[in-house]
Amino acid sequence: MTLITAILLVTLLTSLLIGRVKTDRKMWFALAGIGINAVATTLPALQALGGIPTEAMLGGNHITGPIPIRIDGLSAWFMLTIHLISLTGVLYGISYLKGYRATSGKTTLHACALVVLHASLTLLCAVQNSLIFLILWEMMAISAFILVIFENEKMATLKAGINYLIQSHISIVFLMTAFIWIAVQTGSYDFKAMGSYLTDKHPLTCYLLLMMLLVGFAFKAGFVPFHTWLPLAHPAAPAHVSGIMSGLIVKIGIFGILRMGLLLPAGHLPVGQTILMLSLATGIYGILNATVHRDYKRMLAYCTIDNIGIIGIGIGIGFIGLGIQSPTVCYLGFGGALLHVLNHAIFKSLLFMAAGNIYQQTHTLNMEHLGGLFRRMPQTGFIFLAGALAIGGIPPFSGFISEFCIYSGILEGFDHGNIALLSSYILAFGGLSLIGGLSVMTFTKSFGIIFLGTPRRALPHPVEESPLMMRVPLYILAAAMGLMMVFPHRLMELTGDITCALLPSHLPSIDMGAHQQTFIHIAWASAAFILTGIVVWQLRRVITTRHPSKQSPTWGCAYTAPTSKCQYTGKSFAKPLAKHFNLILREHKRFRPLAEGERYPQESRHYMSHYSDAVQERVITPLNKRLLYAANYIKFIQNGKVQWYVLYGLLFIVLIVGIGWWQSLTTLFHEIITNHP
Amino acid sequence: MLSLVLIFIASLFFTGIVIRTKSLASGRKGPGVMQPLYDVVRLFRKGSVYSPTTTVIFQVAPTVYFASVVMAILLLPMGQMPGVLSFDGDFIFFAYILALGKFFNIIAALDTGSSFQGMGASREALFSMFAEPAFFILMGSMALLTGHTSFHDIFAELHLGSTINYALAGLASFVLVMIAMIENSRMPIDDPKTHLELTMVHEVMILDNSGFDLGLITAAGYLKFAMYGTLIVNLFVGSTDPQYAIPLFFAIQALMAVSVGLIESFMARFRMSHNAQFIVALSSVALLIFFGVLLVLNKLV
Repeated sequence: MTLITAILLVTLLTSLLIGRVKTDRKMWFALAGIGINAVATTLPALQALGGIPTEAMLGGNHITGPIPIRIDGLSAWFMLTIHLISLTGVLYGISYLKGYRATSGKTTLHACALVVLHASLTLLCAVQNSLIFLILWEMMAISAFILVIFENEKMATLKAGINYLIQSHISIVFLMTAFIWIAVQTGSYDFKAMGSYLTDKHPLTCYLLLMMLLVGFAFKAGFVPFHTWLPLAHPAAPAHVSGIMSGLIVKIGIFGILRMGLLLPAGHLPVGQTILMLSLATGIYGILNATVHRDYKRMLAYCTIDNIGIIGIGIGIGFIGLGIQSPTVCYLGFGGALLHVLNHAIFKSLLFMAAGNIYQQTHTLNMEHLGGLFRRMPQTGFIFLAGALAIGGIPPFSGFISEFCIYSGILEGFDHGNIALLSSYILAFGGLSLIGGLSVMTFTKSFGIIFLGTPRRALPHPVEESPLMMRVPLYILAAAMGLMMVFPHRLMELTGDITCALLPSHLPSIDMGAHQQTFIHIAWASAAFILTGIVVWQLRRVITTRHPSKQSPTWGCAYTAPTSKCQYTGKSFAKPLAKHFNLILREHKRFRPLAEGERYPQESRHYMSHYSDAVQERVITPLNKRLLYAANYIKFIQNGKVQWYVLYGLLFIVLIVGIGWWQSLTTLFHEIITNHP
Repeated sequence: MLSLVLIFIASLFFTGIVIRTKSLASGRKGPGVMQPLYDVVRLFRKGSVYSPTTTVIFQVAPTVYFASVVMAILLLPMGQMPGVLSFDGDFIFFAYILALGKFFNIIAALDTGSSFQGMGASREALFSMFAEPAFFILMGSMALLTGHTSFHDIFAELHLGSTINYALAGLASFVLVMIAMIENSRMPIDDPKTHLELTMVHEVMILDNSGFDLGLITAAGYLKFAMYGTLIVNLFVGSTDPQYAIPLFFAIQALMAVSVGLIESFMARFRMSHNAQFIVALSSVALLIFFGVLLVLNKLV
């Protein structure tokens, strides 16, 4: 009770203070405000992780009804992720924003939005009243919108921001419909009402209600085909905001799916299979698009979609586990998903911040203009490489642990099930490995083109390593990644406890010992690998020092005058892949074809090509066109004249009166008929 | 531990046998079986040339690649004996640690700033990406068949009794041989003897490596062949006693080396654009194994 009041007070107070202080201190105040809120909620979160959930009931008012506050393991897991990513993000933002020399007002708005965003995200994890949940959801959406349009003088940024805002609201419409549905049926806004409402309902009703919620949350989480705001908003936002959006806002959609889905009393199997297939499509679609894009922030945005797919596969497996009554499958599926939520939040915001470092030094988002940055900014380079390896799920980096957990969930599922289920497992198994292979391709391309080779173009000013303040948050996140690598079994224990607390009580309890043993083995295997590497490296050092080593230009196959433009480009690196998947990866080229007989072009020729989003191009845009066409016919209603709107109000009252009159009339007739036959 | 020693011994001869088979098939006498080994030793003794464009990545990459292959071998069992490291789901670790080596090889190629090496790197990344699902579907089906998830348990449980099991093992060997060819960049995917950089895959990716580093990459290639050979051996020797299993190991490795040599002698390499189709077809063979397993388990109704 006091906690919630304290958070709201701190948020309000910080926002007021931010308006008063000097421009270069505003972000520090935002950091302080977020820090206080984070510390205040960390204690109950840690308690919840230890197995003691916090539960409180706020009075509310006669509209909302009582407002239950529950901080259980699931809330705590997301809360702590939110704190880590927000704090490092804002710390990074302090020095990142210095590059913009923004006006005082703009910085105030930005800093306040950060505090509000953090508070609303934190509270979203704790509040279990659907009305308050929607209000917080709206607060989150609007503050994120303000954060995205920081560079509001750019048209593209505004467009991306508005696109995000509209899609957020479509998401809210779905959520609202589902919540109102439950509220009308049960008269309560408490989340638990959904469970009790659905206990004796037809499975189809359960499925439909959950699908409605799922679509609402899928817009936020970025499941295909609801993802189209992501690749626009992420490149448009400042680096730390992209990191927070990709690490947290997208994840809150996942939180919603888990929170509401686990309240479902029956019918888990179809839900699980739907989520599994949707996620598989999301993962493959996301990573395919990530491979071809040359805008490195857009690449990271698509990669977020891919990782949401991986998390979704875990959730799908978890729900299937509930459906087939296997707690081990649940534990590995949900546990893997939760681990990947934390993992992805860490390495994606790390990668976005590293991308921010690159952008501030080079002022371009096009990786084809870069090259050879590894020499100039080695620390950023190393951290980017670590993030890239982790996101590819490659051992000994942290991403492998969560992916392995999901793989194990699938393998565990093999013990149960019919041909349909087994086929979906094997599909998920192959799909997950395809995603792994593609992400190796994506990140070798990105790292190789951005950091290695020689600079491809002259840049506005000489590139140097980013200031210390922009590297410290990266190191903090890298250290978090390192911890996850060393203690995977501890994390598994935590996610196991969280999952067990959420499962219905009639399921048998699970012995997680064997699986924890496996994770200890993985840690040892990683250590063995590192040791092998060191041994080989030492051998190499000893042997090579005896032999001469000289420098000579890269072998150009006897061509002796190579320029930096001769280097292989990212476009050509990904081209063979794009050709094979041209159904999804739509390339648009623009060039003037040679005229007939024109052997030597007279004027200079330009060639342009870019990839577009197939869903946006094939589904969303045509749909929007149809909608606009239909909307044209009822446009006259919205004519902008106040007197007309007053008239609408009047008509509405007349309508109400009319309905009331009609009702009383029919009752009267009814009485007459029944009383006087 | 046994498997580690055996794989190291097998890798000494494997490529030699392949080359010898090729030369015999084309009517030449050919070099001795140990020649590839001498080549590597010679490379280890040579000095290196580094391009000024390259960074530390280029120097580290061959080491990481070699270490990743060694690490993968540590996971492989031999008949009844488990590998040095064995745990549930170790085949996932196996595939991903190999991906780490590949990752470093690819970025090392891009590190040189060459106009050719990126091409090889792109192709190698694409082909091994396409081959990945085949391996996972194959191992997933094996896990489904045996009810276990580590290399050792899967292979120890794999009793070949009925005809259908032999058919499955045959198909699995085919898939594994082809994956070995893809991962080692041999015919019909890539021709190690090609002379034009534009048509190379693996050779152009390591164009700038020299001396010790090139030796490491070559040696890793030999080890990889023996590694995939061991997987195939394990399909057949699962429950055989060691005194028979060890001769069988060398017999099957030699047989595989000879068949690789014969494939390389009598097959032309595919057109680059057909490779992807071929590799995807491999995944469908793996799916065939999956349905075979369903058949065995009486789930296909």
